[in-house]
Amino acid sequence: MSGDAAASAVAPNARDARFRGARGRLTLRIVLLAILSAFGLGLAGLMVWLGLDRWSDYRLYSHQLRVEETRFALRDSLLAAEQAALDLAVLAYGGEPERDPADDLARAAASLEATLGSLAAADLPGGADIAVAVAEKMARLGTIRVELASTPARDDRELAERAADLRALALDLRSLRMRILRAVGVPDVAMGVVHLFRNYALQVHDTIHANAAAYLSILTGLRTPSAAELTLLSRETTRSRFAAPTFIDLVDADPIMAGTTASDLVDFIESEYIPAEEAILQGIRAGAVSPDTVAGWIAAVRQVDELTRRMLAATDEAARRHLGERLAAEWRALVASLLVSGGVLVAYLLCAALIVRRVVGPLGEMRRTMLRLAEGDLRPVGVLRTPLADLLAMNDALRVFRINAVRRERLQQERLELHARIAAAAREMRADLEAAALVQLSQLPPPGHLGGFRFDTYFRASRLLGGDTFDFFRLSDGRVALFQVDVAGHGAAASLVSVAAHIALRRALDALGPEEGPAQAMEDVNRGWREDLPYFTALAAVLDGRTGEGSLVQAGHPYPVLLGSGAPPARLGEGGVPVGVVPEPGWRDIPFTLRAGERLLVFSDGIYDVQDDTGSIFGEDRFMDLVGRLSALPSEDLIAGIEAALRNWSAADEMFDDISLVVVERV
Amino acid sequence: MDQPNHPGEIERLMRLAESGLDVSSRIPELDDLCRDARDHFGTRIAAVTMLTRDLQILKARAGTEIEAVPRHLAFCNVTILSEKVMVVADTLEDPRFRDHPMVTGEPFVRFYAGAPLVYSPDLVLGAFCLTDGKPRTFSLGDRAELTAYAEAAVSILVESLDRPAAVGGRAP
Repeated sequence: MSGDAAASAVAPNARDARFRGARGRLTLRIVLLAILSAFGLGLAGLMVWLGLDRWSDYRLYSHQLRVEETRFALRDSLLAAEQAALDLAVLAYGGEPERDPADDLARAAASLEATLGSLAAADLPGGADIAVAVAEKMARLGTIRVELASTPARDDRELAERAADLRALALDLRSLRMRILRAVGVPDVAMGVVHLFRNYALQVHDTIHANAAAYLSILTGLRTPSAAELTLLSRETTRSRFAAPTFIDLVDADPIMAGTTASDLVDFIESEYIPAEEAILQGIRAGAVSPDTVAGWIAAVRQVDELTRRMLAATDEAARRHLGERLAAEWRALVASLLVSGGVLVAYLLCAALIVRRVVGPLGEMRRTMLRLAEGDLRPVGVLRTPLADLLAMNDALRVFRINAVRRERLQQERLELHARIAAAAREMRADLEAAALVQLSQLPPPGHLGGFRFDTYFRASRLLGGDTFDFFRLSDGRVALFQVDVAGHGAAASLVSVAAHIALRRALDALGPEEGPAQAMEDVNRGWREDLPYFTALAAVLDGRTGEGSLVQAGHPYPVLLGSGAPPARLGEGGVPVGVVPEPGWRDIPFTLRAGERLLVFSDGIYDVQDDTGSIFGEDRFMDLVGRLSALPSEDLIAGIEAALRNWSAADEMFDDISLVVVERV
Repeated sequence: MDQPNHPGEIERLMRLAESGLDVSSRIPELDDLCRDARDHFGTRIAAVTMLTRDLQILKARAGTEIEAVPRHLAFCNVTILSEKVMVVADTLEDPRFRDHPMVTGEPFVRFYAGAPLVYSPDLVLGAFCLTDGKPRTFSLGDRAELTAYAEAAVSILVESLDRPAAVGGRAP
């Protein structure tokens, strides 16, 4: 396959591809709707994500608040247990308890009950295990309460054991509290200082109670401490002093803790409690502790309890307030986020509706209108309802295109109607011309014998109607007249003039007297010829059949040719001006004689003017040669030979000019 | 308003006289065309006007009962000077028309658009015109459609010319 063939084999495929492209299913409308949908889904997703994020924050604080309540209750129970333990130890020592330990234990049990309740609400990770542990502690507490009820009031050892049991329970409760803290962590960093200080306060409280239990056990005489143990006990208390300033600084700077009595607790431990404990320690080391010193110290421990409780209550309140505020803030943020999302979605839906109604809809309408126009449906194009200048301009252009198409169709219709009318007019005119041609031909005499002469003729008009005409007829004096006319131009106008000239010449020749020649007739015609009519060339002759003598007049017509027997063709005449050119043409009769067998050829200049395909005319010389060569032939064959020669010469099927030829032979 | 100097006005009037068109008699189809145009463009008035030596004759009209206007007051005098649609979006903004009695007084024309009725290259009969009491824009599409209305009006006029000639011209 050659390169061209390969290209032509590929081209139709490419065309098909383009065609398929033009008829593709993807429209601007679909693309816009897809983009709008994708954007809308994305926006909705973003809004949902933001809402969920807010919801999750809200849930976090709500959860945190419930976890805090669990821890508050648990802590209250451990504080109550520690107080009960202290009261029991004081009782064992022989002092006066501040409250009935049974009340403290009832409080601790109630708090544990509350812990279980809030634990169920808090939904902690590992909450079930913690609940089991709390229930176990409740059972232990129940056991201690039962044992305590059956313990004799003055059995120091029994009381101290119950106190130790309670302290162990309190320690377990503390570790449970830490488990809860570990389980949820500290999601709000702002609560960090609160947690730290609470733990510090509980640690200090625990240390003081542990020491109190140890000192009371020694003071009660239940055991005798070593010197090393005493040093260790004193260190336990004083160790907490070093951390205190740091915590106080943090607490003072913390916005949540503002207004709590944390510094009161720290200050009291530093200024009151530690000296009181040191006095007890010195007393024990010295082996003599005054009851007042013990009473002062126990009061200090109780004061620490009181301050711790007050401080924790204030901290709890601050934490609740803080978490409540955060929860409210998160709720507001969630509502705001939902409102903003709703607003954005509504705005998006409005925009989408606007785009669909004002862009997508009009686009589709324009597409339908364009296709309609392309298919030739020229119904009016509606005006689009869209605010977009581009679409309006396109719509406007479509209206112009439609009007252009309407006008084109109307012009086409008018053109076709005009063609039909022209064709009808042309048919009518041709029929008229054919009728006229028939009239013109009917003027020409048929070949034949007249007054001792034989006339042979040839006539060919270049169009339906010609400017050539001729006639021969007998005059009243027995002579025979012959004339030929060639009006300048061709067609209807020339033919009408030739008819007028024919009539005029025939009348003028008819009117000739016996002695008058054709020049007279020609003069008469020239005189009567209207100035506004075209001129014409003519040749007229009058012949006498008895003698063979004749005369002719030449008015601008080609020279007639005399064909004598055995002699070369000879030109007759002397030119002359055409008829209708000048008032006094000065024509005269030119005599000649035709002997028997001799012929006279009269013809129009159409014979000379026949052109070949190079534009060369046939011309007079070539014609004279031709006539010389054909001179031996009879007139009919002579005419046929001339016609054949002219046809050979002529480049076109039709002649350029009218041709007429009359051959007169003396018989 | 001065009548614009139409270079071929005398010849135009001669051609109009030779055309055999009856300038004043009503043709129902032309009135229908005016009503259609008025509805299509949403203007107060649509009219087919023909300009004679002294008068602008409203040969067909919709939205007005005025039959003729003195020639020197005719907006269409300007329209026939060109083969294009003439638009005056707001007559008060156009120095040629802002002091025109039909702008400052009844019928308070604020908008005008006219397409010439081109009968032959040397004969513009008048105009197919729209007027309104409010200014408005007139787009390319509007112009093309108004031209089509003018051409339709000329076709109706030409048919009206052919009709009596066809009846009287043929031997029974």
